Amino acid sequence: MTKVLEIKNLTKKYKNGRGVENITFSIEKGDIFGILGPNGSGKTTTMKAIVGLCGVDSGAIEVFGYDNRAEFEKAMADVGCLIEMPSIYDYLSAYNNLKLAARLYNNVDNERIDKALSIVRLDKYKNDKAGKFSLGMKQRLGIAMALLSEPEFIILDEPANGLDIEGIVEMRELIVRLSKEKGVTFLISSHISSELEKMCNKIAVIYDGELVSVDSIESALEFNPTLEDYFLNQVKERKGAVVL
Amino acid sequence: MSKIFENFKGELFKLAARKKYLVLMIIGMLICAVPPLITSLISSLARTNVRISDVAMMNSTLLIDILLPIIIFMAVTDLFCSEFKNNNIKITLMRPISRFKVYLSKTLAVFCLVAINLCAFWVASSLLEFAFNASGALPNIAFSIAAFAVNLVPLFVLILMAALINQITNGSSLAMFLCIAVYAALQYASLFIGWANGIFFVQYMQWDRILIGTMLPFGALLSRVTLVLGYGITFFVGGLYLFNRKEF
Repeated sequence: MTKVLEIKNLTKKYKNGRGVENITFSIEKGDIFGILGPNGSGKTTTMKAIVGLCGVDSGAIEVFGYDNRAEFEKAMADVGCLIEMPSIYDYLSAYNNLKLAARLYNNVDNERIDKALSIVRLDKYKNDKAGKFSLGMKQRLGIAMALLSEPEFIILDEPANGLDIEGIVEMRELIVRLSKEKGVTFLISSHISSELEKMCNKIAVIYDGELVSVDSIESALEFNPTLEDYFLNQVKERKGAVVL
Repeated sequence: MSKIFENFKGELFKLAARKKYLVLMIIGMLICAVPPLITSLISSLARTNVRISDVAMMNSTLLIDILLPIIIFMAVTDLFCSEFKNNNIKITLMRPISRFKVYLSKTLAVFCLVAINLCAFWVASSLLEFAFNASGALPNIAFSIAAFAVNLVPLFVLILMAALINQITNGSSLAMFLCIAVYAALQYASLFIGWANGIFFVQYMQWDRILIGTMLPFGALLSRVTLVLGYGITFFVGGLYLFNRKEF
């Protein structure tokens, strides 16, 4: 299988001592790879390092075989991302926000922008200023931005944030459909295990900045009734009993 | 190159979406109307044909030393510090474009905004000069175009200075304040410190006075031009270095 992402010994420490240390894993084409971990465990730091939003202290990251520092443009050519809160311009309409993002891709025309808006059900509000959107609508717009260029690899950091129940289900179905039908690869982080359990085929547990385990969802659930139990067992083995 | 151009268009689109720049341009054009109106008033009161020539040149001090720097500081702060603070710089940085290209296209977008403003001021000044020129003599169009155009060079250096300041501050208000404070300090440093006379690029903001209509010795001319360009290169490299190291 083709490797879409390969991370080797990634270490990134912030001044406050938080960050990630010695993270190594790889993602193959078509995977829906979930990163599970509590708040502040290093999920977002890992994703930021992949897309070049923060530097790294050591280690290497390759996206589609390209080093993400030396060949950033090639590495990011087929990547769509939503990291942390959706980044949007409040003073522009939803359509113009997407239009702005579309300029850097050759394959995105007005029709594609309209389609991305209809996928996330924002087509009715395309001419409304994004600043007036609710948190959920902003999240939908962020997802539309990630899908805009029809990338082969999509990185979503806590994608369910702010979405209502229908929105969460639609997003999950969309992810599974894109993976099955178009072979799109996903890297999704969440602190909600049930959400990842329903859509991922591989799972990594990050705890306190360290990678605790990487497993297929089948082997994770082989001796654990739920992903939540798997997570607690992995963390307990590594860090001792978790005080709940 | 195409990515720089595409991102440049995007940055310019963002600036155009903010009405304050249109308002500032209109204010600038109104400023252009002041000298010819005063000339006309004096002429009518004195009942004689008073002619203040080259209205465009007269306005340049107010426009180039005050209004355009304010527009530059606002635009640069909008494209850098405000985006850092609101985290929407990530929209661009997560796309397949290098930080060098992002930095260059942002500064070029502000430069284009300044050029559009200068162009509007020139048109307004020239039309007013022509309209209020009681003597009926045609204004020297080529001269005034050249006078406005050469001023773009030091203004671009000012953009690079503002961009550098934006890399070392976190808040947009602080960045705006620092830009104005540094600009004013460099502009008027020579009033308080003797040796500071002529060593800061902002003291040569009006290149039209250096390059056009004066007969400066070639050596003096060259030293002033290279001084300004030297500042430009330093600001660009420093700003780009800090922008490359910035984490979001």
